[in-house]
Amino acid sequence: MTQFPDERAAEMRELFFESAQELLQSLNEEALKLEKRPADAELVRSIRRIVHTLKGDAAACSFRELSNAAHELEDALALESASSHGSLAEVAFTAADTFGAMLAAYRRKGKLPSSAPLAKMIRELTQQPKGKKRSKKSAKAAVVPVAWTEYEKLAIQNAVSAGKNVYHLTAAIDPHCVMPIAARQLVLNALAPLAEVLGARPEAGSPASTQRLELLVASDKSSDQLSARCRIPTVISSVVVELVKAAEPNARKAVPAELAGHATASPASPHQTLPESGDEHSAIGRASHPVLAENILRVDAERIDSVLNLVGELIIGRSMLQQAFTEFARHVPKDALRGRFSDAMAFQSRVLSDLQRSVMKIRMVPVEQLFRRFPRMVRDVAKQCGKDVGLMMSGQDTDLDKGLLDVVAEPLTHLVRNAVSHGIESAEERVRNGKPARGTIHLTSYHHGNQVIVEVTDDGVGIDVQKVKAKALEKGLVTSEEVDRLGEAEILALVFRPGFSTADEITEISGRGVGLDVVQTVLHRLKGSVEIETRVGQRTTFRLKLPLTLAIIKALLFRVEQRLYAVALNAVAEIARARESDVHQVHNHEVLQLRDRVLPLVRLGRAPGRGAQAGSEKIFVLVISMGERKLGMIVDSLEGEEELVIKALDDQTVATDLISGASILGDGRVVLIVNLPAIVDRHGKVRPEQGEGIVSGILLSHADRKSLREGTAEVRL
Amino acid sequence: MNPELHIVGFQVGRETYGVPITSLHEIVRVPEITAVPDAPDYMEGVINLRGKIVSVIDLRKRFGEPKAALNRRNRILVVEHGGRLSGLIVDSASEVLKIPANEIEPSPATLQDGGLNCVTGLGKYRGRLIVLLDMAKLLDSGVARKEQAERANGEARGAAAAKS
Repeated sequence: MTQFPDERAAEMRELFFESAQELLQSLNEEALKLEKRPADAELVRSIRRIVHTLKGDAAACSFRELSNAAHELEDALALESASSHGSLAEVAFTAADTFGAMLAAYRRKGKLPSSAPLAKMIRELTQQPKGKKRSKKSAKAAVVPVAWTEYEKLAIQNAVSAGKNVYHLTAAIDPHCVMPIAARQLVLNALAPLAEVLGARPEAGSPASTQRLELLVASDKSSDQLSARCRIPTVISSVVVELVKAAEPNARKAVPAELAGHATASPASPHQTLPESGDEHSAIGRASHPVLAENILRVDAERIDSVLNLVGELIIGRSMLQQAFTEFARHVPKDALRGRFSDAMAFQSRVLSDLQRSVMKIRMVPVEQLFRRFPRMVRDVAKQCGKDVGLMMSGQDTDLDKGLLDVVAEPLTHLVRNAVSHGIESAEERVRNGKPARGTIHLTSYHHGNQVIVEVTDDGVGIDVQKVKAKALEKGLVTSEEVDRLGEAEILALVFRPGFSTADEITEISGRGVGLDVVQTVLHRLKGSVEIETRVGQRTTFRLKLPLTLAIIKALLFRVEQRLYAVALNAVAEIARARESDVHQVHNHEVLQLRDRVLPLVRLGRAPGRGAQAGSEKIFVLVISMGERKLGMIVDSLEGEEELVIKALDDQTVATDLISGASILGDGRVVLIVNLPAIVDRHGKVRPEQGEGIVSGILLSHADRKSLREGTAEVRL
Repeated sequence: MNPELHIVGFQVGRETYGVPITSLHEIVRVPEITAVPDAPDYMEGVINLRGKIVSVIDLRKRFGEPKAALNRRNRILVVEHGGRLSGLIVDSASEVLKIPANEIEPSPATLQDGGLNCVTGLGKYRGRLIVLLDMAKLLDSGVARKEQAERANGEARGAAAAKS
């Protein structure tokens, strides 16, 4: 094998890891099916094919241990005993886990996990008593089904669309033939005028130890014609031709797996026919499914991100142009060129918007990628808990930003796991309560406005608001006065508080809040939110609301202490104007009476000096709604609305939770984007110290605040 | 054969400092700086470097020099470290110095434990002393200091909470 240069090898390995993940996913899926239909030989074959591909890929990347393990499993699966083995699904699950662990180890360049449990299971498979076999099947055992490669499957698809029939031709080479290798060439030569050979086993150049030659041919002739052509005296003793896929009458449409009748054209040796060749057909037909996706290009997400970054910079460039043009127009009000400039810029602006949309679309992936891991997980968790739980999924084709998808996977896994282990009751309890014994978890996803919603619903016990209340009081998360003022939704939201529930309460029915604070933290980081809807004894829904994308937001620009900041527009419920004299103090917190509501206020800048006492200064209050809570942010002035391309503020030294990112305006100024959850959080946590008055200046930088505390009115550059 | 080190020299206060030319990305005039809340005090903020957002450190503050107003001569040295760009505000950037390797002495031990632990050595150049800076330590110790400050802040906050 040629040794690739390091970089190339690394790239290949990355590709392998990705495709291997998919293979493992399919392996899990097939195993799940197999668990339901244990005797399905086709599923066993499909599993074997997956393992085979994995083996080959692993070997190509010289991951020998993985390749060997896969090889053993593949061999074992080929054995007659395997398909009749009851716990084959279990073996497949174990294999998927073991391979997964090995892959992870390769990726980390860490120590390989032990594959002993898998090896043991494989041995058990191979040592099954062979007496069970029926005589008919022993014939099959001799005929190892041929696994056509992806390329050959693609060729099948192409030939079928081109209006040809695809046949599987098995020729038994006469044992007395002097040169079995030549036999192959003879057959190929004989077929050449009639048909196109798509694939052959054994492959060219391989040592011809076999007495059989298998060919995949595309032809518009009938199977009889083909077999007659191949029967070369003294070389080929018998020929079997079967139709794999009939020509498509409508060449455009891909036909789903269909079993074409097969023609046996060899009276000479009937024992050579493949009894369950139908399976082979459908296997190839099924395999044509991925072939349909031949146009898919696998691209490193980073490359797309860099394109997106460039588009972002172009958008900034557009604003720069626009601003320069406005100024130019002011200087030279009557110039014939102006119209042309303006047309050109309008055109460029439109194309740019399209470009931006297209690039964003590339980043979108269907939620299915996220959902597909859950059937296996629900099965495992349900099994552990001794429950009967079914999983329903809908809306898998809803698109979501890839970056979001990866981050939301963990909290969603958490919620699904919770739903199975805590939400769904035991079968007996369900029956006692008049529910079907089998619990159901429903995963669904859909677009709503400019948000993507992902819901996890279980038809289990529900969450008892009173219990949550009692627990929160017990844990000291809220005081009894506070609790009385909270609405039902607000009480439910308490389960997201850190410390609401801890691991040692997993088994309690009320202990549903295991790590739910993590879920909320992640969602807030993504500028999303999470809600609960529940009916005691009936169901619980966790609703995750996610923004469509992380890269671009509509923002409101405002000034605090001369500095420019931005806030996501969708969080601003309204903008109110007030005077300083309208601001009242309650418990050292500032509040504003807005219509019939009292709005807690947070000051981003410093409070007006005590000496001023003006009280008539006009202020703007941005009413921010964060879930159930509303909060007013006092800002000095508003600057307008703009679409911002978010750039991460990833430098460790400037990273702060108050700022979620930065963006560059058309005139080159940098604007910081305020992280609302953190502001709200800080407002809730900071208790004003006695005597110092109102806490303010959340957004002022460190140095400013120091000078503020020292009382010096020094203003920095 | 005596290898030479190519150093970019710059002034902060009265001293001349130097960083290896390989870590320098470019030198720019000081644009408008956007202050970032919660940042350490020597962190001036962030600037827009042709569409990239780069954080800027004021070396005067970092080195405890007396504060001076920014003027025309001030420059930002944009340095690359760990694949990231950072800006350093200096009083003025002077020249590229070629210092023979044997003219460089390791930094005195007393400096090592002090706050100036980002000094890698002292170079002698035409009778002048050039303080050579280690980018990694300069920028990473900034992180460390920020963490320290945060911890102190957290404690102060905790104490305040306990009081009330």
